[in-house]
Amino acid sequence: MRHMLRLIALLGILFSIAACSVLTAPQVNAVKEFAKATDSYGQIPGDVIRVYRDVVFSRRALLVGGRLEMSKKDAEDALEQALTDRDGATEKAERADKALRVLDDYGRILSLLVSDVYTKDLNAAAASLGTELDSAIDLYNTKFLVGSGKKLDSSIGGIAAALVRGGGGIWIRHNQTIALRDAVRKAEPVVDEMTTAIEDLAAVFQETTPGKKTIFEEEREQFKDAFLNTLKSAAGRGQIVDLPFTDRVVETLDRARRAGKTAGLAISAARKYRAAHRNLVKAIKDESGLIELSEEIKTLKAEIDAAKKLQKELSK
Amino acid sequence: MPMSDIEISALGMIYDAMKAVDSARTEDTISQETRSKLGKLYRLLDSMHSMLIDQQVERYLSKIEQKSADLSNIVNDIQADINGIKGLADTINKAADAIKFIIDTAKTAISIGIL
Repeated sequence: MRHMLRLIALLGILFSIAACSVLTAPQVNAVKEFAKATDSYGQIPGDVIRVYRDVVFSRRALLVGGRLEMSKKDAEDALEQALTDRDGATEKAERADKALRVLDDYGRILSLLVSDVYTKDLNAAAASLGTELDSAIDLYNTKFLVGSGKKLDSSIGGIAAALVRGGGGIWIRHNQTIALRDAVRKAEPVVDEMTTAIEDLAAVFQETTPGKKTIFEEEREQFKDAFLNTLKSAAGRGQIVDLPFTDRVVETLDRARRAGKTAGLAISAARKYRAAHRNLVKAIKDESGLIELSEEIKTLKAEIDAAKKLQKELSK
Repeated sequence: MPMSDIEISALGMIYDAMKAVDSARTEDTISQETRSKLGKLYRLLDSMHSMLIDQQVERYLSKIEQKSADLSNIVNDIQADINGIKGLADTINKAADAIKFIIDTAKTAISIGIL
């Protein structure tokens, strides 16, 4: 009991001297949850560009294929333009993917920063030190104090081990906390501006023209009208549009309808990302309040528990 | 709103023009030459429309890339902090090992009677 009180007092002093503030368990969980929730987020905006690219290309390709009255030269020019623009859109989508991959990296590295792997490594070194110290004290007692009526307390090794584990653990966690707070503070304006730009990029495809239609809806209507004109043109020449062609038209129309939703989802995801990150920053920054304090004490307790557990194991 | 009213109006007008041109070029009464010219006009309008969308996408994509570079620097800073924390844990472990070694040496000295 006496040793335990000394241990707690020593850890308390260590904690006060270091003026430690450590991450609470809910804060760590919040970071991990954030990283988990935002994994693979970076792919979404590029997908909006890809979907738009495909819808436009389908319209252009089908117009070339369906207009039998087109001259060879006109058809070639139209196809060339469709292919060039498709390549341009692909390149833009890839640039978006590449630029937004950093958001996945950011979530993952935050999770790595709050990991407990660094403090867990202290267990083995602390245990080994404690055992060695106890064994040395036993030897000293046997060699020098036998018959003197005096004896050094050989359970001191457990306390030393607990100090290394507990004190070292708190110090590492304190450093993790400082690094995390600094990181999210710096990242907050960047993430805010980045997600706003993502939202704006996706909103380009959600803009409504004076006809109250979004770009995707206009594109769909454009395609539908072009198809009806193709039918009219074919009928005027006594030709019939074959079934596979019509199937492709229907498929493209359906694709254009569903494609409109991707831009809406991308906007919504960008807003949620920004809100989630702001809440995360707030949760990590907030050092005042009883709830926070209580959680911080819980974290400290967890460190002390780990130290106590180790000491107990060494006392066996 | 990412696009200005003028840009949105321009998009709407281009769409309407494309529809009108496409409708006209499928009329049976026009000559092949006119049809070809209308085809070219349609592609020109289509290009203008794509260009307008491209410009908007480029505007925000550039901003995203710029912010991506900023965030990437922050990620690198975090990595440096993690390396520092790993180094700290290593130092504590090494300090414990060093003390252990001193104790071990003292024990050996006691065992062979030097101390």
